[in-house]
Amino acid sequence: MALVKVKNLKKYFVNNDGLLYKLANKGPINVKAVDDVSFKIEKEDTLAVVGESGCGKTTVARSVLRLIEPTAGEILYKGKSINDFNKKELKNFRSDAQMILQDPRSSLNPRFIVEEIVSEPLYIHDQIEDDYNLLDRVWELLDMVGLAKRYSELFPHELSGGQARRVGIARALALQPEFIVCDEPTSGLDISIMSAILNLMKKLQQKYQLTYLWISHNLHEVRYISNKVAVMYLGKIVEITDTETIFNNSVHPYTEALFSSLRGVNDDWNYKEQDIIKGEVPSPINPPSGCSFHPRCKYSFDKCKKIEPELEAVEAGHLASCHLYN
Amino acid sequence: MFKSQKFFRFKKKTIRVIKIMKQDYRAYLGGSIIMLILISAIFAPLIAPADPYKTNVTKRLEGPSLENLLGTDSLGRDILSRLIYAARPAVLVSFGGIIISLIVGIILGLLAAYVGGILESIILFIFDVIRAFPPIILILVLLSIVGPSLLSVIVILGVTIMPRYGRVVRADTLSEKEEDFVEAARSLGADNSRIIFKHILPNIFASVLVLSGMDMASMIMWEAGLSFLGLGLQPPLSSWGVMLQESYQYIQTAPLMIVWPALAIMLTMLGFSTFAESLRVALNPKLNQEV
Amino acid sequence: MPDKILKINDLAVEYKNKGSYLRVLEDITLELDSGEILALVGESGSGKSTLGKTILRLLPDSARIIKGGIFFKGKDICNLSEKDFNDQIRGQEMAMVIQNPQNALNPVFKVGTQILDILYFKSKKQKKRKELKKEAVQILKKVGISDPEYRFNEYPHQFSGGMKQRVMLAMAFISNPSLLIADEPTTALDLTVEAQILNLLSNLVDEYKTSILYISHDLGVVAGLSDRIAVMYAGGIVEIAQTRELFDHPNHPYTEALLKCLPDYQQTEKLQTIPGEVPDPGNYPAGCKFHPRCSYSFDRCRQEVPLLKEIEPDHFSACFLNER
Repeated sequence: MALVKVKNLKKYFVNNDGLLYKLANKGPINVKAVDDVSFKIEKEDTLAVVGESGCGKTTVARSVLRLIEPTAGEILYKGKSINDFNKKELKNFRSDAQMILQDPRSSLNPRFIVEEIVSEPLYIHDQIEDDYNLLDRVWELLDMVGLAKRYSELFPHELSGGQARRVGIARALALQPEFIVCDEPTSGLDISIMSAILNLMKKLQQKYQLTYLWISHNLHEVRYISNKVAVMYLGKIVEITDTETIFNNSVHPYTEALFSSLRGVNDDWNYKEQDIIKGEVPSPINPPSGCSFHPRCKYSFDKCKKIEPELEAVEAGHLASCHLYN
Repeated sequence: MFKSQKFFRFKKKTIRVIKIMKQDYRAYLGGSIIMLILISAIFAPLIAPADPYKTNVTKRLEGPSLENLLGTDSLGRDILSRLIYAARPAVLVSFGGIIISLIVGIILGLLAAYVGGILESIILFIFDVIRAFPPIILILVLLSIVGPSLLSVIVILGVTIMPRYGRVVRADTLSEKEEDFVEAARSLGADNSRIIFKHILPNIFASVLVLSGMDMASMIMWEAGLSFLGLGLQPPLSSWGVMLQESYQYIQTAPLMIVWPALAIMLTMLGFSTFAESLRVALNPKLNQEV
Repeated sequence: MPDKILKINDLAVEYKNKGSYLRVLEDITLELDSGEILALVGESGSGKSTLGKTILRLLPDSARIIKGGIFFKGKDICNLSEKDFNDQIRGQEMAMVIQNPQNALNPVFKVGTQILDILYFKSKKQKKRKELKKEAVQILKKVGISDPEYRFNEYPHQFSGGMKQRVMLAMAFISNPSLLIADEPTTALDLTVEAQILNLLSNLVDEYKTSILYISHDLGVVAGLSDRIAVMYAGGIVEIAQTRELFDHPNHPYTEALLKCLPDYQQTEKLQTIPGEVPDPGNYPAGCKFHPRCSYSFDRCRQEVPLLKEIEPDHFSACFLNER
């Protein structure tokens, strides 16, 4: 049984505020942040969700943790729908599933010292009988993420970006979770810090049998950390398969565009001769007809403008939504 | 309880704040002025050199002398003693008024920001109604209804400035609510009360604190003004406002008399605002590197 | 061999901080050919942005140059008066593009107006603004803004991040500068948009023969853009080489370590990390600043400061390992 299973998740943000707008009587505008997304994550797997800003990857992450209520669809955690959880089940879920937020520093309360930050989940879930020994537990957690004891007394602004990120990870580990949603945990970090964090996350995963949902925009990072990749564009998954397949045998033109936009340091290439994808991500308020990628796609033909492609199997375990392959 | 880590942490944080304030001249300046006023208010009968209500018509409007250090007023009462006794209503009005407006303002502001919807509209409407009146008119109307007394002055002043706090609290709460660390706390399973008391209130308290430091001073001004108009404390009780009003009539013959209550009001304002500013800086870890 | 556009000789810059001076740049020696893209790469705190600002004299008052010179087209620009520098160099011969285009465009004026202003001043206030409009629209079109006549009358907030950066590039290239300093201009942009902007930048360089000092922390981006790369660490340059040469044969231990941190460089089970953190100015270790984190360090590294030496043609490195 998959640990997390997302079925036809939809999240529309409705925009019908404003008196003038109501007078114009246009009816609510639906911004389809996430439109019919399905995937599952097996235990101890890492599913990476890759895409540009506005593709809905963060909305997926927040829905999976029930930080926002979906418009439609179902999210199953260990076979039970998280939106039907009662108070007690939800509390258990909150200790089982953790989140690491994008900005390392702003996700820490500036008036808390590290000790308070790391021990907060323990207080919330009443896992402290006698807080006389609390510091030992905090030090143990800090040690797990490679921070010395002395950091427990510092405020967030006294930490470097990498250290603040480690504190955030220590907080997520405090309740011994099974599932962690990582929302671009390496963005904004220096290269050497980024590699250290990636190593740490991989080590923790093996040691504590963790399952990750990894949000990212960096395909190279994804190759290192994940074993499954979902590429999102404008609220939809356009391609989902194993990491190795994405890197060696990707089919969707958008995935191809992402690869050609950042080829990395290994081979000789330059932006001048590179075949660069044109245009920018359209607004989700007014998405293009048919395949939402067709205005930017160099292979697009008539059918793409009219009919929306379904996410279908190209081969076993490899789904893509593109008319070229169906 | 005193062995718990929570208490130890609290102690350490308090020591840290005191340590920072010890390096700040404003803390000393404001602190000593506030201490001076508090001591005068509490121990007035012990400190005052004479009875503030004892009249002596033979010694009217005298200048400073050894017997009456600051001179005497129109009824021959000792000005220094009256000044010291007048610290009592000053302290009551400023602290009382600010506590009322803080409590009501924070509760209403938090409710407006957290519940939203129709409740928010109602609360904002109440704020606007109170703010729409010029404060002096509002106070005069309310006072004429309940009648002049120290308690009614305190309550009415508290209610009049409350919308300032309500608005600041609501606006700050709305922005803090969207902060990443609040989202992080929610994902950890923290309930609303924990989020409000542990995460939001401590972070919005700084701006409220500075406001209240300034407002405590202006409360004393208001009380002085109301007493000056005869709507605050009633003679023979002394407040700095009453004293201003009395000496105003003799500004030609005894100009020094009006200086003393004015000086007392000024000093108090200085004390409260400098102390509040220094406390705000000390409470914000970002403004202070570890000392 | 064409003239060097920019030549920096043994430059050192200090910041005043609480009464003491912190040396944030030291022993900076660097040359830039015309039409060349040189990438300045380093982690935060390496001083790469400070170097860019020093060249354009955008440093705060608390900073001062204490040693060395900056030669622009053979002329020492350190000794120019502020007025001469502003009249002759800044915005004329040298331009800059910064990280956040939203901060660089004035939100209350139309985009077209802001471009017109620059054209107007460039014409020494001789031409009427109306006459210049055609030219302005042409410029917008050139940087790849679709429907430029319509876009001309829009405000910056109606532009996406990528389009704003295109406008910034357009404005920078109006005066046909010899040197463009680009301080992480694509960091805030999406991957595909970033690629478009860098493609545009490469093409503009070809057309105008402008030299670019491209400041970045992203080795993957620099790989596809620059001719040469200078790696900075803790206020100094540790290695300069041709782009491919640097990636294929890194010489300095820091460069090597940095590359091994990249998940795409060697696909191994475990990424390499660099122990410790970049030291703060004022806490720089004695000798080679990288020695406490370097796995090859030996006695000499702790005592002497290595200088950039040419180890192979056009490949400079500041490491004592090359002298053993």
